Amino acid sequence: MDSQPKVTRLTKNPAEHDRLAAAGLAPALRVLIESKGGTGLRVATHLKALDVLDGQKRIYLHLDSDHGDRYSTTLPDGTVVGLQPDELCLFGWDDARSQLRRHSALARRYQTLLRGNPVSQTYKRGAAQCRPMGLLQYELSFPAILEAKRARLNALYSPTEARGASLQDVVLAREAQLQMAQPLLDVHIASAVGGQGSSIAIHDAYATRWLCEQRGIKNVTHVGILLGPQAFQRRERNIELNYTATMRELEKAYRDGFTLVLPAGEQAVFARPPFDELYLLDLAEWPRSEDPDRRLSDTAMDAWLRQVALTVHTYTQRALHDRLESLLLNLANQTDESLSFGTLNAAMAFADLAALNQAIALDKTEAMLRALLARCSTDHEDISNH
Amino acid sequence: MNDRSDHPTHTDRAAANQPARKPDDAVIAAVRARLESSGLIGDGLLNWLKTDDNARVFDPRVDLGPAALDGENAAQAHRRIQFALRKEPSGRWIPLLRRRTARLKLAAAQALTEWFDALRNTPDLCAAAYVAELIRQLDAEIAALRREASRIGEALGQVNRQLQPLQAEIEKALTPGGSSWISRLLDLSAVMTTLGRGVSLMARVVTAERLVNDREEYAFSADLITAAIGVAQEAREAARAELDRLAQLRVNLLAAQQLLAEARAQVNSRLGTHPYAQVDATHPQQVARIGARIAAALSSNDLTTFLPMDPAQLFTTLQGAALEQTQRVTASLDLVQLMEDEAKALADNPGEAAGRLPDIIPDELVLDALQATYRHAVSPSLKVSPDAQAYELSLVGVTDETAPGFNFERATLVSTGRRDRVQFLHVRVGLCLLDLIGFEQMTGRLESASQRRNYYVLEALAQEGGGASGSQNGVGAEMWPAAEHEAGELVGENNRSARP
Repeated sequence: MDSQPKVTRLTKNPAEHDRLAAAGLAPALRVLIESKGGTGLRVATHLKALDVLDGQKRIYLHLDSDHGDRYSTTLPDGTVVGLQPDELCLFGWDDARSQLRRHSALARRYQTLLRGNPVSQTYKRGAAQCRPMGLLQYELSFPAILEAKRARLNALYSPTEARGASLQDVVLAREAQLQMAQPLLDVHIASAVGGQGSSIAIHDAYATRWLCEQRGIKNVTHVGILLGPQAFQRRERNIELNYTATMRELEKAYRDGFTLVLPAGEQAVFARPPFDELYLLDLAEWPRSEDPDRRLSDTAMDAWLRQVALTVHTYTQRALHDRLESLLLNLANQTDESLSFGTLNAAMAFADLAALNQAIALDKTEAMLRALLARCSTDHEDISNH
Repeated sequence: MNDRSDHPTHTDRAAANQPARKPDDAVIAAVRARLESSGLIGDGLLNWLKTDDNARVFDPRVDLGPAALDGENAAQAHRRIQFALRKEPSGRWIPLLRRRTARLKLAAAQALTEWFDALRNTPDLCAAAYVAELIRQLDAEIAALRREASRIGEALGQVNRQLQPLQAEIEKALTPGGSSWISRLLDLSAVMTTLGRGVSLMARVVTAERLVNDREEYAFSADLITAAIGVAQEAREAARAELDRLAQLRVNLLAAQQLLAEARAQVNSRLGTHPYAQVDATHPQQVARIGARIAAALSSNDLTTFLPMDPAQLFTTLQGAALEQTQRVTASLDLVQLMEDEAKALADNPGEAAGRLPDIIPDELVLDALQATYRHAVSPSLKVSPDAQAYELSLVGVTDETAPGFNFERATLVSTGRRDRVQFLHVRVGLCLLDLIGFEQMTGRLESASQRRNYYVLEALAQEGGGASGSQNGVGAEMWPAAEHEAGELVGENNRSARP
């Protein structure tokens, strides 16, 4: 933008305002958050904290090969928020490379993919910034990952297996069919620079796309949120190279499509890009309080990831998302098949009206308690029982 | 017996407005008046007990007429001597006392219940102070009655000590030959005349008669006082039970205060501390400011309502009522209105802003806060070339777009129905790889680095980098290992620094 936008005051119509204030909220959008890798976990955890603060519920699935990376966040009231076991799909092998001995075709391909990676370098879970190793862990555990995805989709859609012929079964089947047509926002969140998240972002998006098609889930928007690279500068090795590789892979997938090989050996060929909408988010300006020659401190990193979470949270709010979709509809028709992406940012001015009400009510409750106490308190210790 | 209103007087309430630890004179006087009017203390109690339903006061003394011993008055003499020789009090009054005591206890219990109800149901009145004072005065009354009973007991003993030898002498005089005095009594006048000792004996009989009457009176008084103590004791027990109920309520209220403290700590931690919002307009000062506009009123002024509640129920009930009253005032309040209220308060009282919001201009508070938030949203979130041809749009989520209160330049307003927030979402779309600053150089570096090591996960790109053989992009046809998913477990806090 040329200059910063301005806000000016309008005269409010109190009657209209009161009417609207009493209006109900739109129903929440159905959202599946699929996070990957360490960065994805942190953003997902902050998103879940926002769910708690807003009293809403989204469905989460976090994929990671690093079992040691545990993360939770604590809200001001002391509530500790973290992903639950059923929201986690932790996969991988301690000796992924040696597993290749059991899979000849994989071994041939990974001869190419692991080219240049020293054989002496071990990967004890996690991908340690090595993208091919991240994908290898994913592929070795692909059946389990698909199963975890199915379980999370079951939380959103009733299974549609054949039922009996009773009236109740027919009604349930009809409801399940209607559910399939309800919109779903499938949001994949990962860094674009790491070993695990960035390596599986494309594959995993296609895997979800395939599963949704298999389940007959029709109205899904697959969204990619990829983070970096500036925020991760000097944090790990290969940041820039991994980022560039990720971008070039996205470009190729957008242009040429993708062939997903399924556990049974069959292939699913996709001409469509992995994401219906792709957003890249980064730390565009280095914080003034941070040393420009060193990596971002953990505190500043967390502050940025909170901002990312707020952005995703705002983007997935039904009213805003629906309006955004309608505004972007015409633009989408104009784009060609090459990689086109966007960026997002959000901010929020907020007042915890519920907490305010409760705090005032507690003050009043205290006054009531004091009034009652004054009516039943007296110095009657000198009064015996007989 | 109850000639006084059951509701405490204005004086009662005035006295209780200041819940002093020690009862003040007004409470003492009110309770005294209540007890007197109920006939539970003082002479009123005793008089009521010894007065029958026809308002006749019972007299224990027996008037036997003038003392004269002759043949014509033999029957009278016979009665007099028989009276003088009574060994025990007659107890003629016992049915009356039993009847009157039972009735008084019933009436007193009913009167006290009604009074306690009235005390519980009078706002701003310290019911416990009245009940405690009632117990004190009843205790004082019982103690006084016991002292009187003791005094009467001593007098009764004294009379008995005087009477017993006298009765022995009379009996001895009436049985000179050792025959039954009763047979001698049959011809008493003759004996009197014959023995010549009649005058002396008559004097003894008269004295004994007086002593028996005294004993009757003392015994009656003793029984009367015992009955009065019984009435007072029962009233005291009722008062004690009421005081215990109020004391239990007090204990429960104190426990509810503890629950309140815990709830307050939870709520206070949420004020002004939203961990993700750029502006959180909820301040403790606003709690005080809005709270001052709300008068806390109990859902019921009757303590009876609260007596059966445990601390949790007490807290929940009071909090529910308070929340309902609060929400009536804050129902139409929204974020912007709240901020404007705060700005107005700061303008009216600049001292409040000092130290909290330096250099604040109250009138611009809301505008500044919203503008800063908007600008935060439109700040860059990706480094792209200034020449990038991107399409930008800003969405502002407001309670309702037709009445936003503010004009947000270059933004599309969206109704969210949320009164508690103004949300800003800035979007740039239509970017391509060439818009990323330095991407071409990064690609060059990747190509160079790929000569030594592969960074791609798509085989086609990996082959371009290193020339290794491969068949297709994506995942190649494979034999897949069996599912060995491990769910893992999430415990503990952040224990590692962020990794991409």
